[in-house]
Amino acid sequence: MDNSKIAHHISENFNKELEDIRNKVLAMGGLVEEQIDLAVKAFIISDMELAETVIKQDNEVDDFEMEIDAECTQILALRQPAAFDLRLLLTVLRVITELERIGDLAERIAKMAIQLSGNENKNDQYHELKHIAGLVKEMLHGALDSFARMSIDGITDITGSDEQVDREYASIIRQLITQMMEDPRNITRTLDILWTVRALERIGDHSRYICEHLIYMVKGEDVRHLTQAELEAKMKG
Amino acid sequence: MDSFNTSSHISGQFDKELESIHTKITAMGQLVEQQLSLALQAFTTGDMNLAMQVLKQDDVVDECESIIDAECVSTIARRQPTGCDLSLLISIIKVTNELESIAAKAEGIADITIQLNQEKPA
Repeated sequence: MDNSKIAHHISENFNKELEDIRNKVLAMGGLVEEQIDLAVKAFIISDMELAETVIKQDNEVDDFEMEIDAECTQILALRQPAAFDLRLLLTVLRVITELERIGDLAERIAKMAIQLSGNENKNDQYHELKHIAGLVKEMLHGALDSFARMSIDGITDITGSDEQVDREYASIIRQLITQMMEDPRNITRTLDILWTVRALERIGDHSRYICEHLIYMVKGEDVRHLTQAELEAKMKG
Repeated sequence: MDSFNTSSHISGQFDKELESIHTKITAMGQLVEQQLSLALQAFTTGDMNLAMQVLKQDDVVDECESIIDAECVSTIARRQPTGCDLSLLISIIKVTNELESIAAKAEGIADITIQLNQEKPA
């Protein structure tokens, strides 16, 4: 891991504190990634135990958030950092909020899995769901990888994936609406699938927000609320 | 407002900065409240113009968030506050983020209003 951005302080302790925070954020990110993975799996193969695991893991994610939050605030107060260090800590505060929200969404998917499990009619339409899940997992992984490297090279590729996720989301919704019209008996379970796809789409959004926070951390520029085209132009310029 | 504690610093300028942030976040909160009620009204009455207005105003909310955020960060960097001042500024950054999320939801309601209107059989 490249430590040049955080391990250059005269105070060895400060270096350690920053590194410790980075490691915790990455551990939290890894946990959230696992949650998405397990939740989607639980949903597809209707595995109750797996779904319960995801719901339990959510407490761990919440604990991580509180712990990292407290550490950041303490460092801000004690070390009074400036420039990159200050942006790093503020970014961590924002990134863990996004991660916590992603964890909540994974929990929601797990709850859908539990609701659906009583249902006899198995749906064979999980191909699209798996695909969109793969896309958002890749986005989150890329964002966490960028954070680990403290570099925003190639970050517009990740934010660009969000557009693809949105397109696929819209197409799955159209498909599900058609299914509901053709077979009204299945509306309840189709709606559950719809909420799950929606949760995955939101995970994509939050992964994009993480990327935007990282751009702020490295460049010091607020790039929220820009379109993908505007963002690409800004990153080139 | 007691809890905001903006008039107890030796530096009068610092007091002013906190006050300015306070005014801005109150204004942002009011705007977001308004966004939500307009969006709901647009949805229940099917008023397209109102829905459009909500969409337009969302840019203002986004701008509010960016401005308040930038002011908080610059205050933290220059004033190096500790204790309750630091907690206050960090909380404000989090609150603006929540407000922005609420406004985005209101925008979603306005979007759906417009979609429903377009699908309505003539």
